[in-house]
Amino acid sequence: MYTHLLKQKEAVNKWMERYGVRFGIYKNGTFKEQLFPFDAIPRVISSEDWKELERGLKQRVDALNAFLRDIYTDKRIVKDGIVPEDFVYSSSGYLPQCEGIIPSKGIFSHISGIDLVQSEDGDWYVLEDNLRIPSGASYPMIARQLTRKASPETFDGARIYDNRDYAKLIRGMMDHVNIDGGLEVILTPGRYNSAYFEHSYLAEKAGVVLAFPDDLFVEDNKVYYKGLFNERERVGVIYRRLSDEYMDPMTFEKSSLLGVPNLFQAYASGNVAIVNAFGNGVADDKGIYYFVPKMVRYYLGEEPILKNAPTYLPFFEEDRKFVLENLPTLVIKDVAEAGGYGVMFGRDMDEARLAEVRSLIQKEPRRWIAQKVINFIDLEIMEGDEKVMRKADLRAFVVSGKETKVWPSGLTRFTRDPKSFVVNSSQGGGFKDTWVMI
Amino acid sequence: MTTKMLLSAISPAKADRLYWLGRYSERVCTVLHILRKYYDAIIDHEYTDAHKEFCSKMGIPCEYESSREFVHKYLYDDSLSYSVINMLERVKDNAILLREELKSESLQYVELAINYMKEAGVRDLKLYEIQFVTDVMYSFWGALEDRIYNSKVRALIDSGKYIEKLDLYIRFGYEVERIEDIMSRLERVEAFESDLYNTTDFENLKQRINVPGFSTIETLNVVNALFAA
Repeated sequence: MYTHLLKQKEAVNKWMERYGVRFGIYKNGTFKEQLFPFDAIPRVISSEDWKELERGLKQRVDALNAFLRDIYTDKRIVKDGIVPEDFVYSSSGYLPQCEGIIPSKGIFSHISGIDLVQSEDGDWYVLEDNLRIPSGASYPMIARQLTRKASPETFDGARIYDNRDYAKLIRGMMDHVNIDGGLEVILTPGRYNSAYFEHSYLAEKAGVVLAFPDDLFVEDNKVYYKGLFNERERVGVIYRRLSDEYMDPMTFEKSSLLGVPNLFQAYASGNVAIVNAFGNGVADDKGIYYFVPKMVRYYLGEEPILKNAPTYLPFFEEDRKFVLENLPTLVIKDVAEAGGYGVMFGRDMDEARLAEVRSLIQKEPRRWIAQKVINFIDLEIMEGDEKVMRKADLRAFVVSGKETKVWPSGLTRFTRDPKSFVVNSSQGGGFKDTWVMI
Repeated sequence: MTTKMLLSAISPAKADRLYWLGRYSERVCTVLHILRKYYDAIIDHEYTDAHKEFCSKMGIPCEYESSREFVHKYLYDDSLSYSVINMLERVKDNAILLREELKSESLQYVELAINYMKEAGVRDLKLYEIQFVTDVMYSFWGALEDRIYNSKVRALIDSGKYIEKLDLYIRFGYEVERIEDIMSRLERVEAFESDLYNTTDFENLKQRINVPGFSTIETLNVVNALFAA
């Protein structure tokens, strides 16, 4: 199926280098750009598997969007005792400033990155929901473009969904939420952001403006793009690639030089759409993850199609007891961390470290979740000329605009360390293209 | 999917990047061209101090034991802010922030040139062996011409290119006709996208180049102040 492509892997890597497919990383305070290691063997998802995944992903994201709207307005799910009040409002992602604000077209999570793994029995498990600024879609997009260039034979007549239309999906969503037909921009904090390649690549492919914070200003609660000769252009939608806390120094982190002063007020007045909305962090908190199957039942009246990894919340006394007793068999995650940081495997800890982590959990139970380690499948990767097996996950991208659509592809990340389960690029992982078969 | 882009204004920061992209990419090509002429003199041993003259005209330090050492360091030493490899890095610094205008298909030529220069530095390739960099930079310009559909964007890059060319031509004593040709190209850009230059300075420059001995620091200052945007 991909024999010819494997023969062309050197050519593909040369194209990757030539196209500057890199990500940035800070090591010891220094910014470095490095090529994102690409493995030419694709992850292949059958048509049947995909149909099920697609249904499950749409369902999950629809429920999460309903949850966000509810949390910032009626709070029915809290009043009905499905999600504990303390649990929601103690989340660092909950922003009281967003109370009562309904974004353009009622959509909160426009681009959702759902991290999944497939267990050895074939079931898919969701590990994380990323509803703030999920990144990574540009890599399989460009990988497909370059692998098709290097090995057209591989794709000749192959029944694989073309994943290069991701930018069209994004653009369609931006058009849908755009306010007053304004300018559409991707707001990047700049070149020294780890995902800068993606910001610029998506702007190019979606045909929108790549804006830097200094390019924008707010006047009378409206956002404008600043022109060269004092002309201005009204901005209708901002796909932001910086976190809530840095977006507006007048509302959030006062020391932020990256933000646009008064942007939040423009958003709150309904004069600009922000993709993804402010305050989404409350729903992608790793602790809230535990409640997503309950949200599906509560908001949609359906049984969840996708499974959560078996999760324990030390916040609840019974779970805390279980976690403290079974720590060596569990994986512990800090709810406020991302990118593979704050993930600890009990089996890798010595007694002293276990005692230390137990004490951390007892001290701040809300800060941690514990999960059973899922023995997810290994995928083949090429190491030199040899095929080896490594752990891999899948980040699926769901775009919510006029309707909720699942991009028929995704970012497959793998660990290069045979002993590791952590696949993040910031931790040395690589990526594969994801072929969804028609 | 281009409507919004075509209508969009260009921010001052973006205009600055486009202008400097033009300047640095022109600098790479013209400097390599001029260096080849000097190198030609060096290899014939007709003019052993050629590199000193080159440095003096470029206004850069000249602390090298030999012309050969100078050429190697001038091309490849990334610790020298004025080396060719650093000019290319500055092209990239600007280009990478302009991907949505220039397009990835154009940017690849800059990556290609830098990767080649780095390898050439390690292998200590001779000047004639880096003709490839010039070829690739011409491909870059061709790609820009072909792929940029916003006339303002093109005008800003062209302004940078022509002003850099003027600067270098004046430094290296090119004939007045060549300089006038570049100025008329600048005027065509100006006619197309107004207000990019300071017209008073432009007239001042026109008068200056008709006076013998115009290749002075003052003239260069006028050139470098032309870009008003």
